[in-house]
Amino acid sequence: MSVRRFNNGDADADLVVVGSGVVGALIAEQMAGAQRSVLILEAGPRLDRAQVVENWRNLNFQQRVGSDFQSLYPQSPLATAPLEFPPNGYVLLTGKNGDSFHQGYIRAVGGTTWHWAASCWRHLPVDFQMRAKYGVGRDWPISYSDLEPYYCRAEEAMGVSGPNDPALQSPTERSRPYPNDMIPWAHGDTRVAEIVNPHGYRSVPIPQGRAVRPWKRRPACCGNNNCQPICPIGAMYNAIHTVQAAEAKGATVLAESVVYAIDTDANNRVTAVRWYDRNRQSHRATGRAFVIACNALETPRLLLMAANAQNPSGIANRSDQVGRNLMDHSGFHCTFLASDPLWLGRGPAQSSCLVGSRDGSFRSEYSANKIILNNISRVGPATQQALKRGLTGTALRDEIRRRTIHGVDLSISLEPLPAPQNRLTLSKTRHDALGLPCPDVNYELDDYVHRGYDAAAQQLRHIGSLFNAVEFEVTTSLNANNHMMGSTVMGFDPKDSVVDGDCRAHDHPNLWLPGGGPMPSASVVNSTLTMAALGLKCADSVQRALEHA
Amino acid sequence: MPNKDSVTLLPRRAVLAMVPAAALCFWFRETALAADSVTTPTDAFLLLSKLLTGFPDINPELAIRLREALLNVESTTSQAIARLIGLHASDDSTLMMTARDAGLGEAALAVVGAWYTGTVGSDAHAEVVAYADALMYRTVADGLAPPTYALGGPAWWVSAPPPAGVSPPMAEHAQPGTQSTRGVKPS
Repeated sequence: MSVRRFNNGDADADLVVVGSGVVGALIAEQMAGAQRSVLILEAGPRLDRAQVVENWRNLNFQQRVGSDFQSLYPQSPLATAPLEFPPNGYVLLTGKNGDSFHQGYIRAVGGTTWHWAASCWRHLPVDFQMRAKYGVGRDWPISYSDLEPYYCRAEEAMGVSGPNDPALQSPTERSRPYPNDMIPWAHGDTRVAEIVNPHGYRSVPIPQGRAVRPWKRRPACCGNNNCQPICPIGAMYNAIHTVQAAEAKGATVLAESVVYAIDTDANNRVTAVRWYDRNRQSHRATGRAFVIACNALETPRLLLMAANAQNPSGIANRSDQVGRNLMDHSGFHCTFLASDPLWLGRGPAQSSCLVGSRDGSFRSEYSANKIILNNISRVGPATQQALKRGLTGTALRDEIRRRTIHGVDLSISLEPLPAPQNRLTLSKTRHDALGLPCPDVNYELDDYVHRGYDAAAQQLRHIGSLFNAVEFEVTTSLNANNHMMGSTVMGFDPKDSVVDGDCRAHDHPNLWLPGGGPMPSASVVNSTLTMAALGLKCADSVQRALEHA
Repeated sequence: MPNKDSVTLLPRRAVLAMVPAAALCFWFRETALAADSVTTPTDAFLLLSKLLTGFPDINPELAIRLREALLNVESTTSQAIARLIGLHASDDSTLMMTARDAGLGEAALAVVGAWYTGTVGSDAHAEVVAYADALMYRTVADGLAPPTYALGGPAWWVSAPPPAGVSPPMAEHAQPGTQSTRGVKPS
């Protein structure tokens, strides 16, 4: 079914999806495949992979070594995304830990999976019951077993490679094998596992959205070691693959289309969304079902700015929870030089992770952690460090080689608990190029995270000793991980939550808000696969609703 | 395709490893002596760069572009580089000692940094001259390609990495932390 387009630029579709990232794209593909007319409105531009690769190679050394994963992506002047080199101040961060919330996300067709590392973790069953089991955080209105079939479908859709040996799985509760077995490890992953596993740290293969054989329309991974910020060959899953599949099934994608208003009827059903095109002309898209999947910052921003007479505090916001409970995995890094040459940087960006502290009774008191062995080449940092020593000639060559092949960077993730004061609001003073309010974020972490940091730091000191670490360092300030969650939180009770277990808004029977926003617990693992699974569960709900309409 | 240097470095490294240290000193002396007969500033910069970087076969075309970028970044560098070229030394450490005595240490290190990182200057004034040809990648080209390139086809990385070829890190390498947590570190 095709979207109806009118002479004035307006449109009508069975399903209108706002946002073309992994969540919106998966829903669009399913519904287009079910013969529904599907319109995707994306605020940002279309991207050309080859151009983005060239942009990355042309960033200066400081930007590349500083992990500037944003500047290489062209932005629409009418849809700003965060930049840090130099900071563009799009998101104003306040609160004790505001500085740990510098999120990098992409507003473009295909969304932020353009620059993810494709880690495809599942939450543990217990992560859905943090309140019931550990007395902290919030419980989900759905269980792991409710979501498990959708995890399988998401893994299939994204072509995930993961360990089919249960001894290497986290979690082990699975109804289907992975579509592809684990990505084979390089020397560094193998050696680190040999050293740490006798001590209970449990290094396991990271399930990841790439394969070492061709998968559907994607080539085999050739270990270009540039998953972040851009896979040069398209072997890594990103949502552009699903957007293209949805288009092949008849979905229409309008890029550079910034949704800013949501119309509702007397029954508080959504009747239309309104958007600005690249010439700042406003248009209206009517439909039967509406999905807003922009990410856990842009979705609440839109819901709040779209407040109307019937919904004066924002769309879907009778609970006053829209924008609250914001979470991200609080991150920090541990770096050292190991006595063994580990040669990290061969293969994809991340292939192994220490999950020994993903769960335990301690979670009633402090945060769990996971410790990723970063496999991004250390040659950049090694060069920076060696140059600072003022070396030249063969001494410099040898020092860079030594620091590159012995260098280790561990990326640690902690689990924050949902808290209403961690909140996105609309700026009263700052506006984007369309005059729409920019986001303000207040962010404060409590002792649950800080105690988790202390426990992890102690483990890291022990791990360092196992490698006879030289220049052992643990960062003390927390960094963002771009895993935004919680801001349209899911729950049973419409009084204290925004959506139900299908990501359907309590306040609007034909509006769904899937993605990271509904997640009531963060776990310590990357959120994308859970977001994708929630998206597919949402797609089934949308499909049922349209069939019964 | 990986850059051409990464393809040719392996045999070159192997050859260099077999060359006795005395012979290397002789080679460097020859380089410095050759500097007496060079006429153009470009040639002189190339010879200076060979001495400072430790790579005898650096790309002359890149030398032209790096020199231009260095001269563009700040006007004082131009003079400093001209004076650097005038210094005579048989190896990089002697050259650095002489350069520091002449107040040219920073300029010499700027030349080294440009070759190794491919970037001249920093922040808003940075100019990117080279990506895959930056010399930092040649130090490990037998085991790591510049990111975005690859050393083989699917799963090439399961093969054993090459021998270290350098001594392991020692405690005296310790220095204050350099890692910034300001940047975005997604995973």
